[in-house]
Amino acid sequence: MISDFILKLISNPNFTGQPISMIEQQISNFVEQNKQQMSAVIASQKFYPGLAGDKATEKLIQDIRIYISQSIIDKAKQVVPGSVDVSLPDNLGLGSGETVLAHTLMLYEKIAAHKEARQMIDQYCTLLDEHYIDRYIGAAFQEKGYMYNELFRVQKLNLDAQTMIEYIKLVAAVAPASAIRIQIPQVGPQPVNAFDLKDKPSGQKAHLEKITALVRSVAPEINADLLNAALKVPLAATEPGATPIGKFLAIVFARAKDFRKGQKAEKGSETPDKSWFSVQIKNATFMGFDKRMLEEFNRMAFTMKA
Amino acid sequence: MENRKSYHEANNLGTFAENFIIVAIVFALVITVLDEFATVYEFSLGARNTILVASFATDLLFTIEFIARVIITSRHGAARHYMVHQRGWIDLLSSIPLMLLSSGPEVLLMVYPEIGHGAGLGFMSSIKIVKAVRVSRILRLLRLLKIMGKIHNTDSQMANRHIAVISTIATMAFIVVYSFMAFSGVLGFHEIEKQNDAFYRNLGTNIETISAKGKDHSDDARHERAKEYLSQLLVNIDSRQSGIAQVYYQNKLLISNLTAAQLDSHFKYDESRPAAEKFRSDTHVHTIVHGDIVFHINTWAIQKEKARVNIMVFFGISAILLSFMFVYSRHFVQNVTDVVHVMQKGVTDADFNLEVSIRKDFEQDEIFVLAKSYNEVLLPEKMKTKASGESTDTGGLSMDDFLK
Repeated sequence: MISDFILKLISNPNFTGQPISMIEQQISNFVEQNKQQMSAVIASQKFYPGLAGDKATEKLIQDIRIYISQSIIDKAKQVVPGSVDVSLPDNLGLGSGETVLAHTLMLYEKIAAHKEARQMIDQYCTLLDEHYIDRYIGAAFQEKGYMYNELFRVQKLNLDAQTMIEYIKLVAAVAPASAIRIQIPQVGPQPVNAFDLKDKPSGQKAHLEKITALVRSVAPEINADLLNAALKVPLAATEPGATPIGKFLAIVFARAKDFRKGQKAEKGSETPDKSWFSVQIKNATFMGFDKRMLEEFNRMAFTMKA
Repeated sequence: MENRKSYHEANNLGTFAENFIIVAIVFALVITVLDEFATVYEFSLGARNTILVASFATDLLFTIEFIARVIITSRHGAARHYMVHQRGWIDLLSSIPLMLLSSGPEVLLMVYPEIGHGAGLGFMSSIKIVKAVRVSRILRLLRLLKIMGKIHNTDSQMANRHIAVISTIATMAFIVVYSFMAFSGVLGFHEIEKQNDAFYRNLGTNIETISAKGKDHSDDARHERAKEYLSQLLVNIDSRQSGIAQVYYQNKLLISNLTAAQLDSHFKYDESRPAAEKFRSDTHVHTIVHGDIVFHINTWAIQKEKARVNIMVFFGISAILLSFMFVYSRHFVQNVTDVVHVMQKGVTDADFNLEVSIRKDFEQDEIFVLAKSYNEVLLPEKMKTKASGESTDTGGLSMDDFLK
């Protein structure tokens, strides 16, 4: 059975603790890089009778993608409802909470076919599972430093800590839509997503309009303001349109991408979060992150021993 | 690396023998301390003989162990490596010299007391040689190093070797200084022994002079005068203070400070022997012959002092070694090997991105300066490369993963 074979590949010890979307990426890369040898291996396993060479490897990659997409959607259906506060959209005038949640999951089913989008859904599940938003926004409200100031004063979100946490979770839920690749004539013939359009304001505007239309056609109950806030996540921190929530989520989504379940500090090392934030401070410009926000993350991770 | 591994394999007596040796080392250390306590607390002759036999057994075992290791390592051309790098020289120092200079002769004297005098092992009665033998006992403490070599307190090979080297240097320095002080008489025991010897010889001259005075020159009369003089001299003096065990004049007992029970339980005493040989081979009694007078001096007091010094040395070395093993090794591991381990993993494992934790107090240490470069240059570059190379990362998969 091909599903057993894929499951065996995913369970490879090399992938221990890695997000499943990253495992998919690495398996696909390996198959792509070793197409010729893989054709013979796949043929010997007799998974795809009648298919030979490139066709067989393409089919394997496709099957892996389908398997992992479904796993991510199943995971989201399991994790998201229990982790977000469905009363919040009602309270903030963003629509019915239950409906927003149902439409978000519906959106995931539609966009999971896009590699980067399903990676972000997977990362969102990690953020919820590991309580990244709760922990760091909670700490920011206690510290009342740069991050708090940005969220509270710059973005003018006059919310208490818990409401802020739930609001950011809601924005993050919709953020995977920004990773959908669509064709933007102003940019070129190749489909692009919001991450490809960093520092390209004209393309960003067109992409935003198209994605908004697309999302609303699939999930009309997702509020336009919410979607607008979510689509700011891919922007570089230095871009004029970048928002504090967008900058915060850009950092935590990237953290979730590198997150390894069960990873602990080794003897003589810093903790995983502290290490990650500290390294990203040096790469802030390259990655398009807000350096001051990272410095605060780094301090909070040290305090939390995370 | 391969060569070194074969050296380690070459120097292996088998699991059972290696474990047995560890137990024997611990046993030998207990016996070493017990031997000194036997003197301090005046254990009976039987108990001391048991300790002596046990000491001989362990010395013999370690001699056999050393010879066996030399033979098996020689077969693989690793004997030199064993002697120099695997503490073979410690095995040598803590086995053969002890058997030849300490426990071997003592056991021989215990079994055949008659060879204590005369041509055979008569040298044993020489105070200087006996002292040398006693000092050689300190070599037994080298077994602490043997057991340290067996116990690996950390997983780090570098830490274990480093701790072993400094422990050996410290222990050897301690032993060399102590041995030098003991031989050169700096500890003061030699001076006291010389003074005692001179005192008893002068006393002997006095006894002879006094006994020769008077009208009656019969042996009995001279004996009575000598006895009376000695009794008057020692009136109100505790037998222990005087240090005299027994004094004989013309082969007749003048005075004895020991009861029959004490002689039987604590001394190698033979009533049937001539006066000068009654305590033959008893290292706790020093015999001085001065003309017709024989003094048997009880040396327990000075032996106790020596034993106390030995106990102090033993516990001093133990404390140093334990400090190295548990305190310094921890410091070394935290500030050197853990740092190296984290950096090594960061360099070799593509997925490892943890920073080295740099202690503020030691940030100027070369290793932490290097760690800072690892944290601030290598890791960020690695993460950048990883972020831009996601489309090529295969996560360490191999074709075997698809074939299995």
